[in-house]
Amino acid sequence: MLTAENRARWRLAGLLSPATLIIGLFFVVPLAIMALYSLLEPGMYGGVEWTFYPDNFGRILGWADGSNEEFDVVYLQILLRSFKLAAITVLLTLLVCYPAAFWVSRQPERLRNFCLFLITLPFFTSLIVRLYAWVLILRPTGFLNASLQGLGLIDAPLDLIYTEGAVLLGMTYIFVPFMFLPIYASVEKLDRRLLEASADLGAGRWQSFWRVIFPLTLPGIAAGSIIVFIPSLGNFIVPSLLGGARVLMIGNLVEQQFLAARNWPFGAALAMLIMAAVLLFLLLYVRWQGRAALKEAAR
Amino acid sequence: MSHANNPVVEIRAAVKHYRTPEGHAVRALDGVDLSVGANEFVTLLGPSGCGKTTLLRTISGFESLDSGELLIQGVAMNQVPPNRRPVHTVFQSYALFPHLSIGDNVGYALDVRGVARAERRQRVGAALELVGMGGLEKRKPGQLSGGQQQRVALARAIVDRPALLLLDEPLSALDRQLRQAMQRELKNLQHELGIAFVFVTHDQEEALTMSDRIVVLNGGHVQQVGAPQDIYDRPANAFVAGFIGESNLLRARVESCADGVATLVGEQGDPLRLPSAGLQVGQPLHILLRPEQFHLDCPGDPAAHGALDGVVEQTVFIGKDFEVSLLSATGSRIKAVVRDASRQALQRLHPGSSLRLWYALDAAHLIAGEA
Ligand SMILES: Nc1ncnc2c1ncn2[C@@H]1O[C@H](COP(=O)(O)OP(=O)(O)OP(=O)(O)O)[C@@H](O)[C@H]1O
Ligand SMILES: [Mg+2]
Repeated sequence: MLTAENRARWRLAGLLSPATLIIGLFFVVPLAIMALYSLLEPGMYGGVEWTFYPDNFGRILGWADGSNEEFDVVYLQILLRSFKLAAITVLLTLLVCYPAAFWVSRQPERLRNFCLFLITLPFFTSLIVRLYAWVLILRPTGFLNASLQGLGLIDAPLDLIYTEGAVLLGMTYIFVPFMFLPIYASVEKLDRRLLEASADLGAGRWQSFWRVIFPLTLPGIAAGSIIVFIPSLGNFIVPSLLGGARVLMIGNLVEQQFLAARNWPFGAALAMLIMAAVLLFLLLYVRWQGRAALKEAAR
Repeated sequence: MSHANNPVVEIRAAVKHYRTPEGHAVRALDGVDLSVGANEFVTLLGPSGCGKTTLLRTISGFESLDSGELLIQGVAMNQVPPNRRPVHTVFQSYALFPHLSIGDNVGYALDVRGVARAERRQRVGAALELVGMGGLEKRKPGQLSGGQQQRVALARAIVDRPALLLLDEPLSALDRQLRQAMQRELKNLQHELGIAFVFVTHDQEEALTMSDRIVVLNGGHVQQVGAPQDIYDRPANAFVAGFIGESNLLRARVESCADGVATLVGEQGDPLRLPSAGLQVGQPLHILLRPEQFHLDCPGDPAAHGALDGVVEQTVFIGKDFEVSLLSATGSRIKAVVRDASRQALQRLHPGSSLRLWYALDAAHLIAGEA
């Protein structure tokens, strides 16, 4: 005999099983394979040998003894650079989106909806095509250099593409919508009457911003930052198109190991390290901001 | 009270238009004059849309005047932003900061001005104590009931003793009992603090019980300013008479004026003979009679009383008194509240029976009517 509670439990299980299946099949299982591979010895011609092999991590973190693999500090440098570029991308998208969200939220409804449509418009075209457009603009013979030269402002083409600047530009460009939407949601929710109350109690604009607007939109800022930071960190398309060989990011390294070098265990080790770093980052976030943000979101 | 000498707020010929999205201009304030004295409790009273909130928001600085003058403590405010005005508002929605604790909400005005820690703590505590919310500094607004939030909003607005407190229907979200309790408390608080209050309501009972003076607004115009009793007993025009309290307005005309006695004829029953001061022959008038001014039997000298005949439409016993609806000979509907002195009223007040109601002539208040 089924009690009501039991029935509810079964119904819940039924409803959740497709999602569980998909996540299990396409996420947990591959992840487990990756974790396993990262600890196995790379085979001579791709594939793996079934022996325990901590040197995949050793090459990156510094305990490879030199008999099989060399420790090379370049991996850590690339990891560090990836963190730096991802963090700057977060800052840049924030700088673009925060004021824009306020502007959009103040527009009449029709214009507002149109703006939101424009923000999501890039999703309708291929990422590769959009990034290639930047290649055409930035390269030495590209649109920007040609125009500047034509105007006589510069003599020789500027070094625009294959720089950290170009990578940041591309990443900011593709991640702006991801930052904009959560920020906009929290800005839109902001109660104007609270700003009036703040002014009424004697706060100037600057004080109202720091005491009321900023804390109340912080959950949106935090959500946007996470949504931008994580894919920026592992991104390989932007650096490979706009950074070339000069500005490698950790994503490129993983891609190379899997596709070119066919060293899956080493690629898996790199990927596990990125994941560990992201998890650490998330953990800190939940510790510091999460409590307030979750409480806010639950209301 | 010397509000004539040193008013906290002075408004002269204030005009404010809004432009609607459709492009129409709405005249929200149409030449409003008002002065509020120190320590005075002034209520803005009027129907929905008459411009009460607009007037309040021009004082707090969230709306600017199209023309006219606004002085607070003698200083012209036209160019002064809201945060520089010595005025705080208690908002209808309370507008407590959801991310701040009660203590930080109440201390907001002090924090903004950089008041030292110890003094801040002491003043926040005192303000909360004053509204009966002592010791709740740590809570968040979301953890309070509506009435408690109301008190916190009040404490937040008085913590730094502004010259003037503006309250826009602060009690309208509360249930009746709490509302009446808060009315008394607000009045006491105002007395204790010595801060001038400008209080908005569209509840006339609230206005009558709480105010030193009432400003009756309609369509952006001030209809009348006066003490509650003045407004009730001597309304300046038909609108005020109709808006405040139950009233019967009877149309009449001055038929003759001779030897200081004017004779009025019209709906009020037998021709009335009144002192003719200020009256002219042919002048149309309204005679205001409150329901409780009617009697079943002539209480004294019949010459000093008017009589009104009609047919009883409906009678309701409301405890002690009877509420009678009478259809007069001229077809007006009269509402009267009469006391059953003779214990035979039920018979006379039976629907369908004819009835004569008496009223004292000196109780009748005359209002100039339209031609
Ligand atoms: N922002 C605005 N834009 C256009 N018209 C407005 C605006 N605010 C108020 N009005 C109009 O101005 C008039 C006065 O409004 P106000 O809010 O002052 O009325 P109120 O007396 O406070 O009414 P209530 O008792 O309903 O609160 C109304 O006709 C209203 O429609
Ligand atoms: Mg209003």
